[in-house]
Amino acid sequence: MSLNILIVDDSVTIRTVIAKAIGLSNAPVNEIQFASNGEEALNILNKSFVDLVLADINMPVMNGVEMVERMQSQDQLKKIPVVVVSTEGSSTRIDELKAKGVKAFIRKPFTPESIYKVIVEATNAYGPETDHRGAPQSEVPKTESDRKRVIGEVFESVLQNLAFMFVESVERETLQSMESPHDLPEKFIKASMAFTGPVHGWVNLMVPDELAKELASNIIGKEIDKSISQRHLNDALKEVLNVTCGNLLSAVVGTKQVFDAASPTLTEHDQQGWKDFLEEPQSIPFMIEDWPALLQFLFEQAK
Amino acid sequence: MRSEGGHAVVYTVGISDMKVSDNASDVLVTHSLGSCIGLSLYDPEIGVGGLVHCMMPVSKLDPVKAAANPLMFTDTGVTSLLKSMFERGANRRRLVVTVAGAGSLLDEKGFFKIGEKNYTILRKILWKNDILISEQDVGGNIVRTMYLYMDTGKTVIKRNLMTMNPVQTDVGQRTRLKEEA
Repeated sequence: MSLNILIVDDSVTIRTVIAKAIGLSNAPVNEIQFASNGEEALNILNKSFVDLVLADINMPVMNGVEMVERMQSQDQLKKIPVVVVSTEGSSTRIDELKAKGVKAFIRKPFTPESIYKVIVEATNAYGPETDHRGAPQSEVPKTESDRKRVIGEVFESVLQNLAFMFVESVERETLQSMESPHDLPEKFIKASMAFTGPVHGWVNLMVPDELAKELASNIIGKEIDKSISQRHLNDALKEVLNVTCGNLLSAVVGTKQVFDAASPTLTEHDQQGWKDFLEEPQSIPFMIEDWPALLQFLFEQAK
Repeated sequence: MRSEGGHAVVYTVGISDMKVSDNASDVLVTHSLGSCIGLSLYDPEIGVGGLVHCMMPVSKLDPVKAAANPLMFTDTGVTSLLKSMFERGANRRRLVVTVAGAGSLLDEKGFFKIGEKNYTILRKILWKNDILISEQDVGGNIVRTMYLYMDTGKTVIKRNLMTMNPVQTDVGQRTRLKEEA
């Protein structure tokens, strides 16, 4: 039996990675279709025969939860297995999705091999195992220094698993010493995203644009060339922030809570913009291999 | 190193070493995989296989040593094995890929994370070469030995020199999976 698979994700990078993993896996696939949100997915599902849906949760226009609910309300769609591929770390929301008929859950960052495994499991008679693998889970940190350590561990884990890159926590002075034009890259990109829930806040990540190229190249699994477009570069950095945010919320705030996150946005900055961001006390300094990076995770209790 | 026992010819792949073979009577083996990483590749259609044992993650850490022996480093070592396999006619889509090692031996506090880094670099190179891992036994405080039997294409990983839950990559089983699905 050859499968028709529908991949639903607003990130072109993630759609590319999932399709590549399926293509390399020797899974018996007839056709792969793409949708960038739940509404587009329902249109495709109502027009063509699909055996399996791999879907994100946080998407604009119509999110994955609503898409699953709509599928369950239609007789011809409710038997199609849905696998959620998401940064979602909330056990409450995962249980809700399972109750709504979601067959399996893959947490970002995932390995390409796990995509193949879940396709086989979700389409066979024995049923899949849910994959709760993600950033290291431990007790929610109580002190500021514990929180900083956990943020570092989560960021390290995300970069290593998603982009095959190594992260090192450094002192602020280390990045302040990179002042000469030769040491300091000229252009930077800041990715930002807001989240709401029991706590609300922001995650901001600023990196040199050269690092964004490396991230895109590694995540998609291609050498940097013309086939990696500006859209891919931007999208890869957004996805790094998205996955970091999801994993930070479950590691720092807790896995029982349910959060909604907005789509990440990008802004360009020069060296002065970088220096200003570096001086903000909430900025946590890192080196990602040879590149400097600053991460902020800001939140407060919702009123 | 070559030794003959019965009809099989056993080649020991040392640390920072590799061997590629197309002889069905060969057995390739590498010992002492702690934080080092072992990679075995086998193309079942043409019967070509190879094994590499790399010590450190990235060659840019020591370009002089890397130039003298690229097999010491995972980035250059894995690339060397892939090149040798392709030169012998192997096809990336057919490769059965097994990974062993990448433990945290002698580094339990995780200061250097050599094993983890070896594994991450290996994954990056395979992903960029459009290759997925078929089987693996990695991580933990364990020393492993890895065998590639060229007559069957099976890779067997043994832990602590004893056969504790050996991991086997069975070429026949993988082929059946494709046919059944």
